[in-house]
Amino acid sequence: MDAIADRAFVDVQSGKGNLHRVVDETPSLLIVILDVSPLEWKKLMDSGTLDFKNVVSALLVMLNSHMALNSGNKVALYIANSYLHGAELVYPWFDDRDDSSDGSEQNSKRRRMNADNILKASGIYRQFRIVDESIVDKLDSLIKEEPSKLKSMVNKGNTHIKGTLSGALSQALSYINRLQKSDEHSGLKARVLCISVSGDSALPYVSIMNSIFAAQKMKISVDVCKLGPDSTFLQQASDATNGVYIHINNPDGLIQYLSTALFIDPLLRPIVVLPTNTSIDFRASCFITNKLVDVGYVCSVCLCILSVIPDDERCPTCHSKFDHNLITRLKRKPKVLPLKMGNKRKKRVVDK
Amino acid sequence: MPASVSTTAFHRKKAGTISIIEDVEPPMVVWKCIDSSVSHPLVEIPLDNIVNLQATPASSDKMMLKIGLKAGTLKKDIDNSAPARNKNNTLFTFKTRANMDEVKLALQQIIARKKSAKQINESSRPTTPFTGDESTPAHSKESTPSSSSIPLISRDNLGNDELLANLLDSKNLLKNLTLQQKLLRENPELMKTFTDAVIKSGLDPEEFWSTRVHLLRSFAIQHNQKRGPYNVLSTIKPVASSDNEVNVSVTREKIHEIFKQYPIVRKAYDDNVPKISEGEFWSRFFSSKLFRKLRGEKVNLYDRGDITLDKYLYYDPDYDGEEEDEDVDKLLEDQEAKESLDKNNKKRGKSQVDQITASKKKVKLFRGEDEKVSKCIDILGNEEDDPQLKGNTPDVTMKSNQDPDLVNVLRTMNRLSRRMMSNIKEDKPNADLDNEFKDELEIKDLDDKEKVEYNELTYTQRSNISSSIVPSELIKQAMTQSDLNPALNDYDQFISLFKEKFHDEEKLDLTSVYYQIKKSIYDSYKDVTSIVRKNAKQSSQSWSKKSIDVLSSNDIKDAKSDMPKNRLESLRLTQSTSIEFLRHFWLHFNSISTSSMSTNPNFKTELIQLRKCYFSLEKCLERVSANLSNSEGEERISEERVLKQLIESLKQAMKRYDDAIIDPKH
Repeated sequence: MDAIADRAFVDVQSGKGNLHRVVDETPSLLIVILDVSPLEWKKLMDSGTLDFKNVVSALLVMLNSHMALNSGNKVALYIANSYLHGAELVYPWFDDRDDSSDGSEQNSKRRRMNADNILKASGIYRQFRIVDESIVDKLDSLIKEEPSKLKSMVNKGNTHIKGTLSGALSQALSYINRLQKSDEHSGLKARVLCISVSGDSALPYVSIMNSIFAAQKMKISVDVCKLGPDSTFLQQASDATNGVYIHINNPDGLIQYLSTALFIDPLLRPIVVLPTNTSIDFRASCFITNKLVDVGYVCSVCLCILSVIPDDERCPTCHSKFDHNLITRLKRKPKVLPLKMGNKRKKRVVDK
Repeated sequence: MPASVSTTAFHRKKAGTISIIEDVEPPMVVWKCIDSSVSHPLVEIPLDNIVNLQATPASSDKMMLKIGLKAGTLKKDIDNSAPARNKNNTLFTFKTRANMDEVKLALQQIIARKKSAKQINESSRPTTPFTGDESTPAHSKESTPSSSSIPLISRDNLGNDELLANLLDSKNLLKNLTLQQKLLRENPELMKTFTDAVIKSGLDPEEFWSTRVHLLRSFAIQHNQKRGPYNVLSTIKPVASSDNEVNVSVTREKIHEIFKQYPIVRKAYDDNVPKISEGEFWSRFFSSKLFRKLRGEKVNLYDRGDITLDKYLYYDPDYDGEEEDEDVDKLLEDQEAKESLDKNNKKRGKSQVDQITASKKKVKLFRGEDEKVSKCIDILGNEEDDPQLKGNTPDVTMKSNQDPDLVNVLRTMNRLSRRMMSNIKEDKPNADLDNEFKDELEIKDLDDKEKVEYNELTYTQRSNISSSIVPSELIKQAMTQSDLNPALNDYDQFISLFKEKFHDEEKLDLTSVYYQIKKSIYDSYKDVTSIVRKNAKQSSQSWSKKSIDVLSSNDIKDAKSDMPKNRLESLRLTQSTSIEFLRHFWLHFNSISTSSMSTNPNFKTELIQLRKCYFSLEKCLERVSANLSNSEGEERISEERVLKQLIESLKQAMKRYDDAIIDPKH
C-alpha cells in the first residue's frame, strides 16, 4: 500500500532552481478514449446541442495539432462503452489480417474508398490524412458492427452489458507502459484524455480506482472532457493524477476546449495553472448497492465500503466476521432528552 | 584550588576573599575570611542552587550582591548559628564596583552556562566555557518558571519521552492554558473562530479545544522537537566579503555542536582562549589546517595554517575529551622544550615541519601503548583471521600504496559518524561492544527463516459485476420483444441512425470545427480562462502566488464575489460560528448514540450537554435569519443561496434530534 499512497505528483515549489528548469521538447504521446455509448449519445443528440460527427471532427483536429507540435509526437485512440466491443483500439491499427499478402492491398484500398466517402480530405497534409482516414474508417466499421437490436445482445444469456471505460483506461495505460518500456520510445511522456458522455452508473468503482492508482504510479495524467452528466469517479481520476477535469458548458466550441484546456503537455503540468473544475466530489461507491455513499461503513480488513450493515454481519467482499457487539452498537438508535425544560425532572425518572 | 574569579568582599561586615571555583562539581562560590578567628570563616555556596542574583544598581553608593538560594537547600555554613530568617539569601558587600561586577558577571555566566548545558543535555563537562558574553541573556530568561502548572517546553531532556507522553495526553493538553494561548496567538484564523464561538457565543472553551486536540498536540510536538546531531563543520561556509576578507558566522548552537562533535576543538579552546580572545580563536580556527582536516578536506603540507592551532592536528584523533590529557600536554611541552634546545644548538634554518613531525612521532607512540583493541576486531591478536592469507585484498584503508590523504579523509568521516551516533544513543546503557561486533560478524543468511503466517481471505468482488451500462427497464423491454411484438425500443431506434452517422449527405469536414462558429469559440475561451483565473487564486505554486500577492495582496483568499465586503464578512462570521456549534452537536450526538448508561459514566451529563447544543443550534438558526433580514431584494436572494446549505444542515441536525427524542410516556 505504501507505494500507492506515495503521492506521485508533487508540485514543484520551493527551490528556485526548479522554476527555470529547462523544459525540453521531448515528444509525447496523446491517448484519447472516446465514449461511444449509443444510449448516452442518443440523449445528447436528442437535446440538440451536440452531434457525434462534430465531436469526431474536433477530435481529429486535436489529434492533428498534437502531431503538428513535434514530429516525434504520437497519438492513439480507443473507444469505450461500445455494446459489442466494450473497449477497443481504433488507432494505431494493428491487425494480423492485414498481413495476408494479397488481402492487405485490397483492404487498404477498401479503407481508402470508405474514408473518402466519409471525410472531405482535400487539402489535408498527407501525414494527417493517413491518420484521419484510418481513424474514420475504423470508427465507422466499429459502429456498424454494433448490434442493431438490443435483444440480440441480451438474448445470449447475459442480462447486463458491462461498462468498459475503465477497461479502455487500463488498455491505454498498458499501451503507454509498453511503449515506454520499448527501446525506441523509452522515456516517452504520455497523457490520457477521456471524452466521456456517460455518468457514473457505467463505471465499475473498483476497476476505475485501480486504473487511477496505476496511472498515478506511472505518473500519467488523466484528463477528462466531460459531456453530459458529471462523473464523480472521473473527477477523482483527474484529481489524483494531476489532470484536467473540465465540464463542457459550451459544446459548439469544443475545439477550443480541446486545444487549450485539454492540450497541456505533461512537461508543463507542474508549471501552469490547470483549468480544471476544482470542486471535486470525493465520495466512494458502496460495494453492495453501487450507490454513492455520504456517510458509511468501512470493513476494517479489506477496506470495502458499505452503506448498509449487511444482515449476516459479514463483510460481503472478504467474508470477515464483524463483531456482533459493535454491530448492535452501530445499529442502536440514539436517545436524547426531550426539549421542554419542564420535562427535565420527569425525564430523569424515566432514565432510571 | 584554582579559582576563575577571586576578589575581596565583605560578608557580615568581615573582610574576606570571594572566589568562584569551577573545577569542582557543582561549581561553588566560596568566601573565606582573612581573619580565621571569626565565628564563621568559610561560606560555600554550590552554584546549582542559586535561583536569583541581585546587585545594587550602579547609581547606588552601596555595592552589594545578594545571592538567593533555592528554598530548602542549606548552604554549607561552617557556623550554624547564622540567623535563620536569612537562610536563603547570602549578602556580600564589595569595596569597588569593578570587583562586584566581575563576580556578578562570572556568576551570571556560570549559571547561564549551567542552564543551557542542562537544556542541551550536556552533562559531561559543565566547566567548559561556551561563548562568553552572549550566552547570558536568552537562555536564562527563557528558563524562568512559567506560570502554568504544566511546562510548555521541557527544560530537561532527562526522561524526555515520558514527559512528552505526558504532555501529549489529551487531558493535559486540554488543561494546558499556556499552550492554548500560544497556539491561538500563532494562528489568527483559529483565534477568530475562538473569539466568535467561545468569547462571543459562550461555547465552553474545553468543548472548543476538545475538537481540536490534534492541533494542540501537533503544536506541542512542534515546540518540543529537538534537532538531532548533524555534521556542523560542513554547514559552516566561509563567505568572502566585499573588502577581500573572509567572513564566517557561527551561532552559539553551532559552537556548542562543534565542541560536542570535536572534543579536540574544545580542548584547543580550553587551552587557548584566556590567552587569545574568543573572536581571534575562531578566526584562527577557521583558517587553520585543523579546521580543514576536521571537515574532511585534503590538507596540503604547504597550505597556510595556524601555528597555535595546528599542533592539535597531531593529537590523538580519537581524543574524546574524557581521559586526563595532562600527559599529552606534558609530552608536548617536553618535546617543545627539547626542540627549542635543539634549535639553539643547530642551525637556524630548521623548518617547522621537522619540529612537528618529531612531536607527532611521540604522540603516536603514546597512542600505541595506550589503546585497547577489542578482541573481536583485533586482527593482530588472531593471525589466522588475516583475510590476506586467503588471497583477499586488504581493506581500502589497509593498503600500503593507498593515498594517505584519502585514508585520512575516510577515517575522519568515520570518526565523526561514530561520535554523532554515540551522542544519539545516550539513553541506551552502553551496550557491550564485543557483543555488538559479534552481532555484526554473524552471518544472518544461515539462520532459519522465520515463517510468516497469513490469514487467508476469500475475496469476492461484487461491484464490478453488477454495474451495467444499460438501464434495466430497457433490458426488460428488449427481453419481452418477440417477432410477434416488434415494438422498437429506444436503443433499436437510435442505433440505425447512429450507424449511418458518417454516411449522411454531408461529408465530415474538419474545417467545420471553427468555420462560422467564432462566437461559440469565444465563449469557450472565456469559460476556460475564467476557470484558470479561479484556480490561479488557489494555486499553491510559488511563482504564481507571488505574482498574485503583488496584484491583490488584500483579497487573495476571497473568491470572486459581488457581495459588499462587510456583508460578506458578517455572513462568514455567522457561518463559521454555526459550523462550530454543529460540530459539537454531532460530536455529542454520535457519542450518545454509540454508548449507553452502562458503558459511559458521563452519559447523563452528555445528554444534558447535547440538549444545550440543540438550543445553541436553534439560536444559530435565529442568527442566520436575523442576519439575512439585514438585506433586501436581489442581495437577499443571493445571500440566501449562499447560506442555504448551512440552514439545511442546521435543520437536519435538529430534525435528527427531534426524531431521537424518547417519548417520556413509554
